[in-house]
Amino acid sequence: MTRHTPELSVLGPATRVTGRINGAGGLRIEGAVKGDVNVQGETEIAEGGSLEGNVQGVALEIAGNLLGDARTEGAILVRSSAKVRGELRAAQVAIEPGARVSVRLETDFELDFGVAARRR
Amino acid sequence: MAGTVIGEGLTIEGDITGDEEIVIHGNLRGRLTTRDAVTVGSTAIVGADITGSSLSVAGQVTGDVTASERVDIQAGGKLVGDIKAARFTIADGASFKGNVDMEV
Repeated sequence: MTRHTPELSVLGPATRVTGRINGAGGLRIEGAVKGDVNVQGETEIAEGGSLEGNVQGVALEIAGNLLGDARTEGAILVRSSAKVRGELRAAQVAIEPGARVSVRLETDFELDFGVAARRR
Repeated sequence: MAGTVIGEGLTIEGDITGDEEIVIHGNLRGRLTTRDAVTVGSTAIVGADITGSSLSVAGQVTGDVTASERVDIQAGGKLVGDIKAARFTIADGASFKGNVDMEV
């Protein structure tokens, strides 16, 4: 992610936010946020960053710490450096080896047991 | 390079504290405290008390400002609130309403 597009917001490593974050554009959290995040864009919790609160957005990448529930239209990617506790709901969820997660996971899909199951 | 950038479409309701430069192009309601410079861009709307080393305003700010170095209101900028700073400039085309304390 580049830092200088006007649509992208960056909360730096020495920045702490307590409160609600809403709006459009991408958001990269390198510092500490306590509160809910609801953005029409991609949210990234960078390594060393932390979020205590719920996330709603288009997509989410977690390389830092998340304590709270996340719900996205697109994918949630949990990087190997991440620590996550909460509920993840997304179209797709990927968790890299090494990530520390204690989550309830929900993705949208249908199980197809095919003809064999229907025959009984 | 700014440590923290609040993009044009983003709204933060709450407190921001930090030790790094903060640039705001979006909206902020609450309180902002940093030891570094604060820049309020032309698209920004800020309703917050601001504490920082310096403040540059090209957008709209409503709130009291305390700066250890300076406050500059740029052309097109608007600031409503009391200012406490050693140095203070208001550019041609800027608006300001409030008290100024230069600690003389």
